[in-house]
Amino acid sequence: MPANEADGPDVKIKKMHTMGKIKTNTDGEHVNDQEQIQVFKELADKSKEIGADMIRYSPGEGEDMECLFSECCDVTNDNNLIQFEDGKLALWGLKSHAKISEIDLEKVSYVHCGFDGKEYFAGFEDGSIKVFGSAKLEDVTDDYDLPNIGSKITSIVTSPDCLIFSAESGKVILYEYAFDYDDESDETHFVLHEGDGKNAISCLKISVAKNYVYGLCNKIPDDKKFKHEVVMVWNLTTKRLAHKHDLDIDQGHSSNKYESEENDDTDGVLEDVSKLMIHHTEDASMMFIRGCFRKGVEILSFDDGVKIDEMPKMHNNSITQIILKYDKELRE
Amino acid sequence: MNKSLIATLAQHTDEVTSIVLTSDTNKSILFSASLDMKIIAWHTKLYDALFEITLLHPVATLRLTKDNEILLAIGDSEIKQMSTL
Repeated sequence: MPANEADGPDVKIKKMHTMGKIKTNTDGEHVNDQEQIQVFKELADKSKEIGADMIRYSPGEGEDMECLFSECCDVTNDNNLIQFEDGKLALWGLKSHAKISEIDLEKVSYVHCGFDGKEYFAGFEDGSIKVFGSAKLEDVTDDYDLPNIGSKITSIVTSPDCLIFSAESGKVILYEYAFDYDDESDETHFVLHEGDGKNAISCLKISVAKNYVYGLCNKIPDDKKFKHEVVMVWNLTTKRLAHKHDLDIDQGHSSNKYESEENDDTDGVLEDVSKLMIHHTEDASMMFIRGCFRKGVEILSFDDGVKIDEMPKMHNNSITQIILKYDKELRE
Repeated sequence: MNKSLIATLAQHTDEVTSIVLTSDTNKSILFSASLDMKIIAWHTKLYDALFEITLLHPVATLRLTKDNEILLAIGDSEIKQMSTL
């Protein structure tokens, strides 16, 4: 994989915004304020520079081009890009446009950029986890005493207080940094969810208040037909399952990138379930999941899973991503 | 909770794969990416398309740097880096 190639811009920019255009809202009031016009004038001017900077990742001759998934790269605290592909963990400088560091990893099953962007966590097929500093990808695993649970790691999330990870066996483990596990006779971690050995938990997320963690359970029935997907929510204070809720996933579509080869009969991009269940960044009590036959959104309470509200028929086609825009003016 | 439809952004010609919103409330911009190989920037009050970028490949995911200054378009075989402002 060669380093960056300065191929020059290969993007076309079409300016859409007409400066000074006055629009009215439904009440006939002008909504274009001067400040907004100035901001977007700057944006339109600067947009001519887009495409000048490019990092190109080119596979060698004869190698397959693999689609990059969102889980495979993230932006670190220093605004550098960390990327995992083909067994290599690479750190790129977005400002220097150069590869800062690269390490080879075998049998990695999951990668996660820590909550503060300073560390990177790699889960392996044998159930172990390694930790790397995001500055130079130095191995700092010894700073932790992470357990090996003997089953392929399927998801990792971190908070300032803890690390939570799930395995193919269905186990979900809570590891608290401040807890002195040495004083316990056997325990090196808390088991949030024991699992049944066949239904894996994936796509773990942690709520903004860090009091709940939620993930997807791939329910595979005994006849191995019609895989059923369930959102499961654990309370990190009580360390117990709070509730679970069905999630509308297209039958036969995989939520797990590692299963993509088995489900290669779909066109376009496989559904990314992490985009279909999110929490409210301002109101910590709410989570949003796709529902209403995949064309709407359901709003659930984190506390007990009760449906607070729903927005059915938001779209004619299946929704592929939910984001929230907090509008302070509307809120007030 | 106000649930009325504010706007329908119908400019992409293929499946929308990713959307990101800048976290700066004064310069809030919505970027959308699609299998139609375009990234479109949207005004988040007027919901007008500000400009669009045509790439050579479909985009699977968009990412913003924490300072909102760089937009990353992650697609088939390559990652493009763009200045947002």
